[in-house]
Amino acid sequence: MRERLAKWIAAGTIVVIAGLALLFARLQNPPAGEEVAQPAVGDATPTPARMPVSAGAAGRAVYDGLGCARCHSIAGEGSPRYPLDGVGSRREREEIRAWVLGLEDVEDSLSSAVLRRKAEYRGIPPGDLEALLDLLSGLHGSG
Amino acid sequence: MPPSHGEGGGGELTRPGGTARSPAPDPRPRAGGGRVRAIARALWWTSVYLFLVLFPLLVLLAAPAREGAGLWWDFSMGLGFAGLAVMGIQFALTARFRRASAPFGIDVIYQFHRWVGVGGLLLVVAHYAILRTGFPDALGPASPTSAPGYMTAGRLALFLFGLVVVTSLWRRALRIEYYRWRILHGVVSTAAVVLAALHIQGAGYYTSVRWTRILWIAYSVFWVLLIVYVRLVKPARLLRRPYRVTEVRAERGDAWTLTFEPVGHAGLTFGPGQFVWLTLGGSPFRFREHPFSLSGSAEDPGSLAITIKELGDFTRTVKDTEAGATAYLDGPHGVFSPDNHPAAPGFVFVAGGVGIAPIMSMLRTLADRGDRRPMVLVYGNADRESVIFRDELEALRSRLDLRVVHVLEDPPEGWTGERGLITGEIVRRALPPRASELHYFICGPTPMSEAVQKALRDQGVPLRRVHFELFNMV
Repeated sequence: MRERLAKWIAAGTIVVIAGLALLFARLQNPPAGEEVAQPAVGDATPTPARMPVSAGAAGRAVYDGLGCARCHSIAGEGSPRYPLDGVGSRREREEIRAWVLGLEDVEDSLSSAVLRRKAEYRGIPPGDLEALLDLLSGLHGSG
Repeated sequence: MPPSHGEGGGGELTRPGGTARSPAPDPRPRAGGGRVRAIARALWWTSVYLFLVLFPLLVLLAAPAREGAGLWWDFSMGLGFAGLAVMGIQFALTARFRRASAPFGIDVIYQFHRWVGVGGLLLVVAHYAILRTGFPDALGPASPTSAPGYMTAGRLALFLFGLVVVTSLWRRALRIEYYRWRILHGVVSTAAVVLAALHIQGAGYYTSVRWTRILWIAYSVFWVLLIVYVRLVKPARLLRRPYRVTEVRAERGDAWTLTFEPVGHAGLTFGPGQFVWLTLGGSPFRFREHPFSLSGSAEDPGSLAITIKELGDFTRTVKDTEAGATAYLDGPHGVFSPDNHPAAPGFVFVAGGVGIAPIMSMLRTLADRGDRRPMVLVYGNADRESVIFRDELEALRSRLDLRVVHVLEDPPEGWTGERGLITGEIVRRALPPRASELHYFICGPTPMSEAVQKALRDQGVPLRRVHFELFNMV
């Protein structure tokens, strides 16, 4: 009986925790109409970012090679936490460079772990970096 | 023989008995507070637990990092944070903080630890499953050679959490020896929590805002301190409070009584029916400890003692202990005590085999106090010769208003008493008048305990007057 009690209390605790996690997600993502909804699993893919085809190929290879999709998404592919769609419209090329490399201008906005990771990108070949910046600067779609 | 009091199968968390003595004049653990105060304490510690477990989610709710990234994505992140919090706080549940466990009984805390651990794993699995299904690109490659360290740390943590749960739920089926399991459990769970914390730190979600980052670091430091306390501080404190084995005495029924005296300190204060974790012949840092009931009178100052039946790997070696050996006692623990029910008009004790140990502590203590409330002991054993404390029980009848009902599986010729295993029917026959008003203490094999509980329920005895503890978990 005491075992069953402990089991039910544990189950109740987990349900409360999962419910609170869902509440958090719900507050972060109000239903369409209240605020602009973000893409979610199963939702329609957002408007694809427009990118020049020529810049895309080389830049995309660098983007994929660095594993940028772990933290960012383009046209719904990758992590939705930091979507890059439209970044070319929002930021200048040099601003994007600062964000990619975690330079001084942006370091207050990033955690130390992310800054360390971005600092590693400073070692990639200049040509690759420029190709990546071409790709990102060319993203003028939604976002 | 009674699996719930003999450390069968090589040392699971079970409770053989013991006798202990306390130098303190009033060894009662915490009776007089009343039910209201007990409930208030239970609610307080439940709130503390929920706050600690929900802390990361509360921080997230109070300070959303930025606009949402999608319902499922944010739900997955919330589950990940919460899952780690549940697993991190597991260390506190088994740290045996006496104040926190007292309102519930440490056996319930351990059972809760077991099942909430399974729930915590489900949260973490759900966190991963949502990402795997909905956002495979965000997970990147699984290979540790190409994945960044923090992602590998997360995957490894998930695997290790699974390993911890599987080896705990199915230790016996997997034939993992108890000591090995304890070491595995401690090392792997610590590694899993550390790896999961590194994963969160590396991923950087929700930790990019300065003040939430500071809170998260403080929370992680809390875990580290908790682990340090459990693994280092607590054993170190035990090391400073050693005991010396003063006697190893043979009892009936392949049982042995070990007595102890404190070395350089005042010893411990306990209530009848409480138990200690015993470390014998080794350092407390090795975590080779077992729970044993204290079976002596709580009113009798002097050396502590426990009575152990030869049932498992460890208990079979107890008789080889020599007087003068060093031991460490962590305790007392448990709420299985008549001292918690001072208004009880009388008691019925039901014991199977060495399950008599904590009940012997109660009887000895009540006799020393001159208690005249009516008591019945229903005591099951294999045969007359294996009745532990047989002679002393006879003697106690003259000091207490005590009726002893022996139940023997293999009774001698001419036996007119109860025979077979203790059943609900036998207990029903033994019940005195006004049975529903008495308090019941049950200690023995699980089938016996369950049969007795059912019989008492059928007789209209309220659940709050039936006391037993759970000690078969891994």
